[in-house]
Amino acid sequence: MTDQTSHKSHIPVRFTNVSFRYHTAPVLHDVNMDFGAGCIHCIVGPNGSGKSTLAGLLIGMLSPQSGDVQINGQSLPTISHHQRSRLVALTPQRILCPFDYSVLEFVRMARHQSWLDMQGVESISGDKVLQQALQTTGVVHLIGRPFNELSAGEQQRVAIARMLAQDTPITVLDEPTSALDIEHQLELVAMVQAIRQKGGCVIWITHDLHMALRTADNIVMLKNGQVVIAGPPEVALADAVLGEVFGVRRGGLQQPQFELYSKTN
Amino acid sequence: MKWWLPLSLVLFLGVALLSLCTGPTLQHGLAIQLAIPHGSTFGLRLARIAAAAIVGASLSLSGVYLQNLLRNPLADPYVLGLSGGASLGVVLWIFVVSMCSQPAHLPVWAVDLLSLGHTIPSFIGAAIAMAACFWLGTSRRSGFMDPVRLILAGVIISTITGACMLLVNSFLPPYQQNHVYFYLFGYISEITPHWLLIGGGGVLGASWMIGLRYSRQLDIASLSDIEAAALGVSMSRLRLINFVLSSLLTAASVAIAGPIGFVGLICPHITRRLLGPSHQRLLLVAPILGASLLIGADFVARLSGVLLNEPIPVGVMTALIGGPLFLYMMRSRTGWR
Repeated sequence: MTDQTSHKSHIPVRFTNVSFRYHTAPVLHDVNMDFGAGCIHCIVGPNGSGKSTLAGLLIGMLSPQSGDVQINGQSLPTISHHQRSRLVALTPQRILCPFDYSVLEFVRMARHQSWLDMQGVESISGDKVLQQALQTTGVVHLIGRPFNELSAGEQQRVAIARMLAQDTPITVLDEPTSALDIEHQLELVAMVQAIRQKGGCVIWITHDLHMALRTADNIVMLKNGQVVIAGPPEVALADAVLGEVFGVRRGGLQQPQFELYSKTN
Repeated sequence: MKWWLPLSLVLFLGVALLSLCTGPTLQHGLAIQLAIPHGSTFGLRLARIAAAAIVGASLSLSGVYLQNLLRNPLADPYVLGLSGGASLGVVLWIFVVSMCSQPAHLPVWAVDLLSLGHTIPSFIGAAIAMAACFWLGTSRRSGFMDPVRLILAGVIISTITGACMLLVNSFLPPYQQNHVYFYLFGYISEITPHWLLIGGGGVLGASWMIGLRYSRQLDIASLSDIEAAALGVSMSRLRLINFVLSSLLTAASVAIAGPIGFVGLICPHITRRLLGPSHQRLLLVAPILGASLLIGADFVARLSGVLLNEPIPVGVMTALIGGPLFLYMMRSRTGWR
């Protein structure tokens, strides 16, 4: 245990004194966080608390005005775009596809780096990771269809397939369950747990507290761009915290209730 | 599998050959004859076809880059006012040259140099128009580009540059006014200087190669900034490439033939319909289609010019095909969402 904390690379993602603002409005203020490997970290908080900005910072689309984001002990600005896409993958909150790519073309975008290495092997059968990602998310039957003609839930599963196809140690999910029905939500939870099992670091941004309580190993609660509390679900989602952040009492948010749902067969 | 590439090349060669071999006969007045031309006629027609091919391919490629840059299939150098900016640059250059010199008294090399000069204001005009379009098309509140704003900005830029050009034109000596008037409609001429064709061909070739090199990244870049970042694509680099290449291509084509509309809209659209949106195919086929389309449109313009005994600008032809298509795309689901 002491070995893990002393060796930097065992903390895949580390935020040190990170502050970020758009123009003048501060979004994140002096955020310090560690995201360990083999864990599911849920980031929760009210609308506008800076959750999605965190995702932008993590994949290097935004850079903080002060502070440092480290991936595997390396400061993010020093990592090349190519390298970074092999470390961090993301499912975005909204997917806009202005041109009619097919599902296969869409998912294959995750593999464009390895393709160049493979000198243009274009069939799925040649790419184990891609095949695996399509099967895990159950979208194999959709690969010939245009992405834009899918339902919102199907699109979200395809986006998750693309994230899995990147095959990275760190995955970021930004509100991935917003368009999924309960069955596919449970499937997603199983997928995420499988990533954890393999030692991956999952960062799950959500405002679904039920989901967070059910799946997270660690919950980070944000409000107005600051970390209110970080810790295991029972601590982070305690009544006092919920009252302070959301102005609600826990009430229905009890562990047994979501145990009501589980996949048949 | 790759049937589409030879097919588009066959189309291109067929149209070029048809245009090369068809023309009016001197003996029979207005009759049109189908025969392989000889002597100077051959050279003149070939130059005209080469000019049409380079301009068509450049505009089509420019359309592909702009559509990728703006993530909007309705983007086109003409619609967004780039062509207008470039041609205003050219007209201003003609004005400046006519003000400060009497070409008749200058040595030949100086006249050549002056006529070469209009490529640079053409590029500057295109780049300024594009930057203005970007600036005006970006919502100040959200920081995102709004397709409707963008198209509106393009229309206004085109209108302003058009008005400026007419104004400048009225100050020109009469013998040049007619020339500029024609130029403003987009006109492909037999007597395009060869160095201009070589330069335009060079720009086209280089931009084409660069685009093909980045084709996979262009696919990803058309999604969103956050996805591009997650998939390892540097948007700042790709934006710069898209910006510079589409301005350069527009500038080169405007320098050769004036503002010709809608080629950059029609060809990528047709290619996407037939082969899908993947940039590997799009970048290969759309420019070939653009070249074929413009050779064909110029062929029709040339023949109708012969029949009407009055030259017809090719820009009239492309606008008649492209305008309605633009409206159709705007109405249809695939236009913008």
